[in-house]
Amino acid sequence: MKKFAMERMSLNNLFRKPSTRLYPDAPKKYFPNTRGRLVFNLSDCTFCTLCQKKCPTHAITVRREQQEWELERMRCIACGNCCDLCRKGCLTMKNELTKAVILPEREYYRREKPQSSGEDAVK
Amino acid sequence: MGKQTIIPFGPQHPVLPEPLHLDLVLEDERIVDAIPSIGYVHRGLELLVSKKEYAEYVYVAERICGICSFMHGLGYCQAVEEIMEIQVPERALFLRTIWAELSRIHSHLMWFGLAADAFGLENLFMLSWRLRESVLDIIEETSGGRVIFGACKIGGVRRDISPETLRDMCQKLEKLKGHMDRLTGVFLNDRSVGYRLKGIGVLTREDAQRLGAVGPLLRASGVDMDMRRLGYAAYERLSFEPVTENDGDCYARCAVRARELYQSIDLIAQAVSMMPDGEVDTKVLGAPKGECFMRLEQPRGEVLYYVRADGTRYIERFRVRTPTFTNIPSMIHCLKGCDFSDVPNVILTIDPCISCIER
Repeated sequence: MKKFAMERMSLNNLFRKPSTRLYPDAPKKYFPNTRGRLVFNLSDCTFCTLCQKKCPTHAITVRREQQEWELERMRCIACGNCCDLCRKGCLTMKNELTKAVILPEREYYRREKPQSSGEDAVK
Repeated sequence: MGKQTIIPFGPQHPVLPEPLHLDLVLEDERIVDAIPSIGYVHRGLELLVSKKEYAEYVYVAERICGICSFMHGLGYCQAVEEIMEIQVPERALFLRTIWAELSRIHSHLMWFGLAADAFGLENLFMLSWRLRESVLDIIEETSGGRVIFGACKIGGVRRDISPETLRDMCQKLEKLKGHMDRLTGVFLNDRSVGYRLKGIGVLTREDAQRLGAVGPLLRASGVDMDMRRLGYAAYERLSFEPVTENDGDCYARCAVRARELYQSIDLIAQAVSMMPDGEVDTKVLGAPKGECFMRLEQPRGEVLYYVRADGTRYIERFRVRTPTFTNIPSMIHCLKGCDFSDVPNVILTIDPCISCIER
C-alpha cells in the first residue's frame, strides 16, 4: 500500500492555479447547444396554442382572442419541447441563463391591432 | 446484552445529500439494528403520468432523479417503444448508449466525492467534483443540459452529435483517464482510506443474493450481474465484462466503481468507433396499448419500469423500482455489527438516491 498518496496530492494542489472562477466577474462559457432560456418572437406567432398544450409544466398561456402570449418564467423547465413543435419557429432556446430574480414575474407579449412588429411587447 | 440506545440519524445529516432517516439501535458503540424511514421527498411523479400526454411525460420521467436523469427518460421511452413496437434508428441507439455511459461516469465521480467527504477527506471530494465538472461540460455540449439531458424522446433522440464533437469527446475522455488514475489511486492505495474502508460493512455473496442487492453493491460481493448484458440500446454490439470484486466490503464497492469508470470510457470509445450514419428519430403515430416491464442498468444498479397503457394519449400506470430501494435491506444488513463511526461510510457505499426511491 502506497504511503502519503493523499498528502502528495494535497501538496500539489497548494501550488496549482484554482479550478474555480470568480463568478460573475468571469462568466461561464456556454455551448451552442446549451438550453438556457426560452426566447419568444411575437411577429411570426399565429397564436395556435400548440405550445400551451404541449408544455409539460403549463408555463405558457396563449389567449388567441386577445392576441396575448404569456410565459411564467419560473415554471419553465427549459426542456425545449415547444421549440421543437412550433411550426412558425417563433420559439427558440437561447444559450444563456436568465438573470436572477426576486419575484416570479410573468412575461406578457401582446400584439396591438393593427398588426405590427414584435417591438410592441409589454413586459 | 448491554444497555440499548436509539440514536436518530438523518434526515438532515452532513453526510447525506438527501433526506433519509435511520433509527440506529446501539449497544455501546456497536450497531445492533437500524430502522429506516423514508417519505421526505415524495413528489407523486408516478401519478403524474395519467395527467400528461405520453410523449410529454419523458420530461417528467427525467426529473425523477438528477443523477440518473437520462436513464429514467431512456427506461420510460424504451418501455413505450416496446409497447408501440417502434423500431428506433441505429444511430439513436448508439447515441443513447453514449449518453447513458456519460451519466454513469458523472454519477460515479460524484459518488467518489461524497464517499471521500464521508470519511473525512475534503480535498479528495474537491478533486472528484472537479473531474466531474469536465464530464458535465461534455454532457452540456452534446445534449444541451448539464444534469437534465432532455435528449431522449419516444422514437429516438432529440439531437444528433456531429462526428467532430464525438471525436473531441473521445479525446477529452482519454485525457480524463490520466486524472482518474490519480483519483482512484488515492482511493485504492492510500493507507488512511484503506483503514476506513477495508473490512467495513461486509456483505457476503449469499447475503447479497438473498437480500436482492443490485448494481455495484452486488458486483462487489462477487456476483456477475449487469443488466447491460440484456442488450438494450446498443450494448449487444459492444463487448464488455461486468466488473466484479469478491470481498464485499466498502473497499470492494469502491474498487468496482473505480474500474467501472474506465469501462464506461472504453464503451464510449467503442460506440463512437461503431457509430452508424442515418436518422436519429422516427415518427411516432398513434397511442400505446398494452403493458411492458423494462430493466436497465443505472449507475446505482438495476432499475425496473412498468408501463401499462390503455390506448389513449395518457398512460394508465407507471411504476419505477429504483436500485436504492432494492439496496436498503442490504444496507441495513451491512450496518448491523458496525461501529457508529462507520455508519456514514456504509450508507454512502450503497450510493443512496432518496429522490429515486420516493419518486
